[in-house]
Amino acid sequence: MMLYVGETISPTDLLIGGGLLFLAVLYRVWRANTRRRGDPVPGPRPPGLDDRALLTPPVPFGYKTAWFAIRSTDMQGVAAALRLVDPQPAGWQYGIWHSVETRDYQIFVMPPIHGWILAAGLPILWEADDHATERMVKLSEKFGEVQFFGSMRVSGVAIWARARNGQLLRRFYEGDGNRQEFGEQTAEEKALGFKFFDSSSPESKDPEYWKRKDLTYPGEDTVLQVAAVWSVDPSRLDQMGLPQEAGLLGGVGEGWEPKPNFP
Amino acid sequence: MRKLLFIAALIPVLAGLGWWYFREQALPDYGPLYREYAYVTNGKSNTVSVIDLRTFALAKTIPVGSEPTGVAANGKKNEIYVVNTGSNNVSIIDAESNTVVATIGVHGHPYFIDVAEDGKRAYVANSGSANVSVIDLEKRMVIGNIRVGAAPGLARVSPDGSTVVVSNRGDNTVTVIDAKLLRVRATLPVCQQPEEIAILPDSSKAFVACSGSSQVASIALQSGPQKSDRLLALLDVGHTPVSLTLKPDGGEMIVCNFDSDSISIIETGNDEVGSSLEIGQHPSRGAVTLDNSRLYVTNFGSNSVAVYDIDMGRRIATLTVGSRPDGLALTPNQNYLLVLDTQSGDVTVIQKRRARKLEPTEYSLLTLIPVGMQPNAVVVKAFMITKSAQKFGGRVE
Repeated sequence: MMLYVGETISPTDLLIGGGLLFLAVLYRVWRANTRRRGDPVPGPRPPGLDDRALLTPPVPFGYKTAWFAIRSTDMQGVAAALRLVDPQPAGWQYGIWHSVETRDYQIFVMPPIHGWILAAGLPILWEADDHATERMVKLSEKFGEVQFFGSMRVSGVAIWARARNGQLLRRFYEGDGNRQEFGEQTAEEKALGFKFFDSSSPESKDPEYWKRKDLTYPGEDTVLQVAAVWSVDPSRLDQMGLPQEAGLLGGVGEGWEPKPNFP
Repeated sequence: MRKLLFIAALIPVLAGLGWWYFREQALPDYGPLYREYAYVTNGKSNTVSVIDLRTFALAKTIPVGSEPTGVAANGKKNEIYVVNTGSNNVSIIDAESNTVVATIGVHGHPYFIDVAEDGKRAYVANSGSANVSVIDLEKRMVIGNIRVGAAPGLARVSPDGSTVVVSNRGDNTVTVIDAKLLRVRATLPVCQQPEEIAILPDSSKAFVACSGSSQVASIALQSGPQKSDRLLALLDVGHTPVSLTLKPDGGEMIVCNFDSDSISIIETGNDEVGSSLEIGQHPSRGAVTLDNSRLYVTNFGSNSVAVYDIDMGRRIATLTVGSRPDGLALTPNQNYLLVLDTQSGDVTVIQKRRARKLEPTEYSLLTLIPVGMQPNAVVVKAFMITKSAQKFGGRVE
C-alpha cells in the first residue's frame, strides 16, 4: 500500500472510499437496469377485459373454440333461443375474453356482421362432438339457416356443419382419428378444392398413398376457410371495418351441459 | 498529496473488488469445433429455426415439409429428425451443416418421433393410419409399419431399446411392441384418450397419461421384475393430464393437469400420487434439471413459467414469458431455459444465475428470439463437428 508508516486513515479518506464504492454499485445497478430495459416486457392489459361497458373494435377469434353462425340480426332473439341466463350487454373485448379465452363458461352473442350473428363460448365447445349439431338444427327451425364450426388443435378436432329450416344439410367431423360425414360437399367446399387423406380408403393400404401431395388434412385453418365462404371468418373480424358495438354475454342454464368442475 | 495517493491506490483496489464480485461467468471454451444448437419446429411456417446457444441468436431457418411438429435428436450421430404432420414424412437434418439431407415418407398424420438410445432406429406413430413406422436411421428407410390401435398419438422407445410403447387415443388402448422382432407383444385397455408416455430409465415401467379420464396408467414392461406387459394401476390425477416429466433419476414423475391448473407428483416406485399443487393457469409441459433440483412448467393460460423447487417442495418463482407458452428445453449447462411461445411465434430465453445481495433475483429474462409461426417443439443438440466437416474450415453453418 502507499500509505506511509505511522499515518492513519482519516474519516474523510473513508468517506471518499465509501463514496467511490457507492458509485461503483450505482453504476452496476444502472447497467443491470439498462439491460433489462431492452428486454421484452408484458404489454399492458388490453382495455375492456375488466370493463363490460367499454366498446372496443371487434376481436378476432376462431382457434381452439366453437361457434354458431346464425342468419339473423336479432341479438335478443338469438340469446333467448340459446337459453342464455341473464344476458347483459358487453363490448367485444369483454365478451370474447369471458366466453372464448377464459373458463367463465359463458356465451357471447356478437353484434350482427353482414346479416349473421356469431355466438361463441366454452359451453358450445364443450358439446362440440355431440349435442352441438342437434342444437344447430333446432336453432335453424327458428332462424332459417344456422351453421356450426369448431376446432381443437390438441385433439385434432375439426368440425363444420349447416342446417336450414330444421334440416341438417351437411356435417363434417374429424377427431381422434375418427371421421364422420353427412351430406354431400357443398359447392363452396368443392370450390375450395379440399381433398383429404382418408385412412379408410382402399388406396391408403399402399404406402405411396401417404406420399401424395394433392391430399391434406382437415384442421383449424380448414374450418376457418369453410366459415369464410359459408358465412363469416371470425379470425378476420378486426379487418372488416365493423363498428364498435355491444353484444350480449350470458351464462347457460337448462338444456346445456353443466359447467365442468374447473378449479 | 497523501490523500491523492490513497485515492489513486484505492480506485484499482475497488475496481478489482467490484470486478470480482460482479463478474459474469464466462462461457467455457470448447474450441472452434464445438456446436450447441436448439431446433424449433414452426408448425405454420413449414420451417425449423436453428438457434445458436452460444450466442442466443437465430443461426438459420431451414425449410422442411408441411406442418412440422415433433422433433428429436440422435444421441450418437449429429442428426435431427423432424416430423412433418401435413406431408406425412420425416426430414433428416444434418446438424453440422444444418441442411436437410434426406426425407423419409411415413404414413398418415404423424405427430411425434422417438429415437432409440443407440441411435439406430426411430419410431413414428401415424395417427391417421393406425400404425407405427420403424425407421432404420443408418439406411434412412422405413423397415416396417406395425399395425396398432386407433389414432396412435405417440410411440416411445424404452431406454434399453427393447420395447416400444404406443398410446392409441382413438380406442383407449396401449400397444406394446417388441422392438427386436417388430411385432405386437400386447394390447392393453387403459383409460380414456391415452397420449403422453414416459418410460423409467431402467425400462421396467411405462406411464401413460389419459387426458379424457384424468388418470395416469402405470404399465409393467417385460424387461422389468414383472416379466410381463400388464396394467398395474390407474392413478387419479387432475383434470386433463397432458404431459409427463420424469425426474432424471426416475424416482418421481410430474404430471401437468391442464384443466386443473395443477401438477401431480407421482412416486414411480410404488405408483402413488404423492402430492398435487397449484402451479399456474393451464400448465402444459415440464422440464427438470439434471441435478433433480428444479422443475420448470409452462403455464399456457397465463403466459408464464413456474419454477418449482423440488427439494423445498414449493413454487419459488413465476416468470413472465411470451404468448401461449408450451414446449420448453434446458441448455446442456442447465443455466438457460428456452420457452416456445406458440401464439407470439418466438422463443423466450430465461437465464438462471447465482443470486446475490444486490441482485437477489435468481432468474431473469435474457432475450426473446423470433422464430416462425406456431413453434411446436424444441430439441437441443450439443456436439463436436466431425473431421469430414473440418475440411470446410469448420464454417459449415
